Formats: sequence, structure tokens, C-alpha cells
Amino acid sequence: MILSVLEQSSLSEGISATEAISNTASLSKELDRLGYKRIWLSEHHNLNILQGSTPEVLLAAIGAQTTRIRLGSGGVMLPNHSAYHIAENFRTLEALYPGRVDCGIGRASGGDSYSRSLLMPTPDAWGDFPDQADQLAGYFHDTCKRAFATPLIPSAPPIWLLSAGSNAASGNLAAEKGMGFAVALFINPHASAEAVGQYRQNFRPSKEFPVPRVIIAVNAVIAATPGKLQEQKKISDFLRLMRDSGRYPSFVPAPESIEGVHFGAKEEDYLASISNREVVGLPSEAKKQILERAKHYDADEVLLTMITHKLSDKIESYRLLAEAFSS
Amino acid sequence: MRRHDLKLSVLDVGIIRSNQSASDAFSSMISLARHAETHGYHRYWLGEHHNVAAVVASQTAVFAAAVGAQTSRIRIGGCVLLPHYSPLVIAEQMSTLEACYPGRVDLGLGRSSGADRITSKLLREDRKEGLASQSYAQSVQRLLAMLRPGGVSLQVNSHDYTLRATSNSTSAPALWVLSTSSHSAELAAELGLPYAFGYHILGDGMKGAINLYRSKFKPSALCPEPRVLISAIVVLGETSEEAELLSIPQLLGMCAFRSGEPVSPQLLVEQAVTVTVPQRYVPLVEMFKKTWIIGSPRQAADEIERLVTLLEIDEIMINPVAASYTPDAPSRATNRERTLTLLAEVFPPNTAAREFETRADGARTKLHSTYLPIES
Repeated sequence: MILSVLEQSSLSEGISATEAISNTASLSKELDRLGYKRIWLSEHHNLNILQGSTPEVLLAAIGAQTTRIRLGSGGVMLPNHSAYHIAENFRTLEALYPGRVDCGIGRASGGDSYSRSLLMPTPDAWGDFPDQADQLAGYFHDTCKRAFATPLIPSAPPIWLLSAGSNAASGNLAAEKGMGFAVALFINPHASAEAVGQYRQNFRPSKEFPVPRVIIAVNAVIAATPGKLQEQKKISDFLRLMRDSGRYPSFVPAPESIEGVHFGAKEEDYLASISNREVVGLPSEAKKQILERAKHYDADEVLLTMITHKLSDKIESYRLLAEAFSS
Repeated sequence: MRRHDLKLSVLDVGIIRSNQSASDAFSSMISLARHAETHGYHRYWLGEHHNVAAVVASQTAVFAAAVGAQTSRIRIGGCVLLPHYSPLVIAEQMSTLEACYPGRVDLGLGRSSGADRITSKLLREDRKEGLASQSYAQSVQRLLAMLRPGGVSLQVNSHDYTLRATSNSTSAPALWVLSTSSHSAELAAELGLPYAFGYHILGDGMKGAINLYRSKFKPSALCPEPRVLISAIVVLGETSEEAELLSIPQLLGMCAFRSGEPVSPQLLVEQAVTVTVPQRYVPLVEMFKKTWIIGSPRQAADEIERLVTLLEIDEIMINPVAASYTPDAPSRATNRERTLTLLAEVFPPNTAAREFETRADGARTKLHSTYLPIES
């Protein structure tokens, strides 16, 4: 099984944004060593708890500190930007780190409506998206004769379409345009395996993707001991409950800060109903769940995302998982 | 005895040569940045151009992030042509860069397009929020506000709304206004920001613009006193004859560029000397040679001293454009590096003064949080 990681540069209680960003760089170096295939970074705006706003800039820094791991966006929210601008950013990355760059695109906003209005929003985020995706691919392949995106390079970063999997539209679009398809179960636990099936069935090969490729993205809670696992899971559950009730906190709490928090039956039921979003367990159990989930969705690869209070816990979890998969 | 208080910096517009891939060009730029750092240069700034085949540097923040990881002390950043972008995107990019390399980031704001009309439209997608209605000065102010570590409070539909490009950050990038006109000089003075004049683009009006900036300067917490640097194109050789030779390829490229002709990657010296210079280029070459500093180390040093004395400045930013010889490694820009080496020998870095300056830059950026620009 191919394993990759999605990083959001979360801000933990008591640390600065500077540390949140440098934590992502430190983690990337570990993942590079541990053999993970990709590090993808997300784009969020004006959201205190997730400090990653501009994947391309941080990827450029990370690329210089790693040797083999693929560098990607998970994703660039295309409706916020000019496709030409994004093409220049990714061609810069591809020229710096040839053959290591993935361009993941999504059509959400990554922020609230006001911060979106401050970006360069397309009038119709959903309706304009296929055109924008075409433009981006056009700049990558120099098919737009009106203007070229510099630097001019012979290779194009593969484009992955990111989807919450709530309907078939994104999968169909990815299939039609010969893109990779990444389904975010950690956002939408109810994403259907049928969307993936349709994508595979309707897929039209492209230069970067001769065959369809599917990634599923899940939240991961992994620890060495049951006690540690309990502690990590509580933070993860707390954040999800707060997020889904519109009270997303501005930072990741320390375990001791939520000692007094207890979930009621309603909350536990809700968490159980969305458990498909994640894999939870000691390393061998997490491995089992990852393999099952990948099989169910017919995925080639699993992208893990993890929020811990301490960077060292996250590094340890990814190390344990890599070990479980190599044994 | 040469001046020892003069600070040298680098402007790299990202030249690509006829025998280089884009990846080679980037490698040679990173090598140039490291070379500059080793030789005591203060800043390594990038230029921004779009849809120009002779230039690989289009997105300053992205490339600067790679440079920062491969250097340790030199200040990084450079030109961002703000009219192309949402101020929020630039605030986020630059805050991320600052978080990666605290206290080392400069953001130079320019208002030209660095591109042809069609490319500019593509960058802005014809829909930049209020581009038509929002003036450049408003964009700069908005960006300044967004860069504040604590964020900015805005009134939206009569509700208070806090916007953060980045929160809980410990420092902010240092802002500079890039300029070739009195208009931007007044803006820099009004906002109390440091001022960089692009002598590499335009010589006319430089002294007047700098005087205007100084006379109208309003001190800010960010910049208590007027601060000026200029950028200049410099080509050095061991002798003036060699320097002349090394300047020919870039002169040919710039003549094509100014004539609205397609610009190819920079020719190698051996290729350029076989080119017959078209008659229409002759007046352009004469014009360029008025501002380009081409010569032996002594000649260049004399001209640099003349400029810094005339303008009463203590920093000059060198835009090294020397071409390469055929055997030079594609992953290096040996002759551009040599320009920096030779100049640093003439103006040896005053290490103590420079250390102090680096710290002062840091202190200034930290004061940023107490500096509240106007936000409407």
C-alpha cells in the first residue's frame, strides 16, 4: 500500500504561527526519511487553527530540505486564483524539483466568504471550475498561444482533482480530463465508492495519467499505547465536534486543557456515525483499517492527515505506521 | 581608500541562457545567492516578469522560499507587482516566507506589470476585486494592514470582522516601495516606507524622485528615517575590454525587449560576438550604456562611488547581467558570480556595521505590530 500525508500546519495551544510552519517543514523531513510517497499541503484562509494558506511557498522551502518525497498541494483552491498565476507557481516548483511536484486542485474556498472575496474569486466557483482546470492544464502544456507561463519547462506536474465525494460531478470531470482523483473521506465520511467506480470506468488517459489513479484521504489517529491513543483520539474528536457545530477553536488544545471535557451520548452517536472519516488504532490495527478502507474504495493510495498537539507525537505516529507497513 | 560603510546587495531578475534549462537557470540563481551571502552581500532580491522567455523568475515568494532554505543570513525576497494580485494572497505568501525565515524577508512592492497586456489580463483574470476602483495606494495600505501579526479589524456589513493573513506570528516582512517615478516616491514618503529606485530600468529623474521622497517623508514606527537604495546593472571583467564583451549578450536581449521583439534566452559570449547589431538597436545601446555600469573593478567602483555620493545613499543593489562563456557550467553563472566577487574586493564588507544593520532590520520589522496603517 502506498502511503502519503496531507499537512495543514495546525496551530497548537501555546505556539506561534512561525512554529506551526516550521513544524510542517520538520515533519516533511521525517516523512522523506520514512518513505512516505507525498507530502501535500492545504490552502486555508483566515482560519486560525490551520495556518497553511499558500502551499506553493511552503513547498518550495520543503523541497530544498528533502530529497525524494513528492511535493504537492492538497489542494490549491482554484476558484480563488488566476489559473495563470497558479501555473507560474507550479512551474517554478517543477523547475526547482523536477519530477517531484503534484498539483492538487479543489473548488472549495478554504475560508469564509469575506476572505474569499478578498482573493481573486471567480464569479461562479462551481460553474467556472472546468474552464479553469482546462486553462491550468493548457499553461502546463504551452497550448495557450496568447501567453506562456514561465519558467518554460518540458515536464508538467500531474493534476489531481480533489473532491469531497458528495456527488459524481468531480469524478466525472477528473475522468474526462485524465486527472488523478482524490476523495476526502476525512471531510465527507459518506463519500460513495460508486463515484470512484464511475471515475475509473469513464477515465480518458492523459500524458500524466496513462491509467486512472485514486487516492482516498482519511484522518489518522495512531499511537503506541492504548493510553496515548485515547489521548490523541480525544483531541481529534473534540476538534471535529467543535468544527461541525460551527465553533472551530482557534488552536489545537493540549490534552490537559480538555481533561474536563466529556462527550455525551449524542456526541458519541454522532462520532460513531462519521467514523468512516478516519482510521484509529495501535499501528497494526491502523494498518488493517487502512487496507480495508483502500479496498472498499478501490484506491491505489491512502493520504493520511493527522492533528496532534505535539509535533513529536505526530512524527512518532507516522514512524510507527511506516514500521507496521514494512513488517 | 574606498568607502567602508557601503552596503552591497543583489537584484537577480532570473536570466536564462541559451544553453540552460529552466532548472539549470534556477540552480545558477541559487548558486549566485549563496555566493552573494559568502561575500557579505546584504540582500538577494528577485525580479518579477511574466511571459518573457529570457527570464525564469516569475513568482518571487515561491522561488525566495527555495533560496532561503539554501542560505542562512542574507535577506531574501524582492519584487512583487501588487496590481496583479489580491493583497491577501501576497500577505499570506510573505507571512509564510517570514515564518520559514524569521527576520530575513523583504517585500518590495512595484506597480508596473512586468508583462504584456494580455498576460496581465490573464494574471488578473479581469476580475481582481476593485482593481479599477481600488488605487495602488489603497492596495499597499491594505497589504500593510494584513501583514500585521495581530491581523486587522474590518467593518463588514456593520459587524466587526477580524482578518488574519497569519496569526500569532513573531515578526513581519520588511516592506519597500519600488519606484521609477515621483509618484511612487510620494507614496513611500506618505506611508513612511523605505524606498528603492530602479536605476536599472530608468536613469532619468532619479535624483529628483529621491529628493522628493526625503523632503516629504513622514516617519513611521517601521521606518523612523528615510531610507533609500538604488538598483544598478553592473558587468565587471578583469579589464574594461572583457567587461564590454560580457555585456553584449544582455544588451542585445534588452534591445529586442525594448523594441517589442521576441526575447530569446541570453546568448553565450561566443554566440553574441558573431551577431551583427541591427542599426535600429544603436540608439538603444547608447541609452543603456548611460546607466549600465560596465568596466574594470576600478572603473565600476568609481562610478558606484559617484552615484552613492551624489544620492547620499549607503546601499546599492547590483543587478549582475554578465554573460557566460561556452565552457561555463550550466548550473552556475560564473561571470555573474565574478562581478559580485570583484566588487566585494573593492568594497570589503564592514562586518560589524552589517551585523548591526541586520539586527536593526529585525527590530524594525518587530515594531511592525505597533504600526497601524490606515484601513478603510
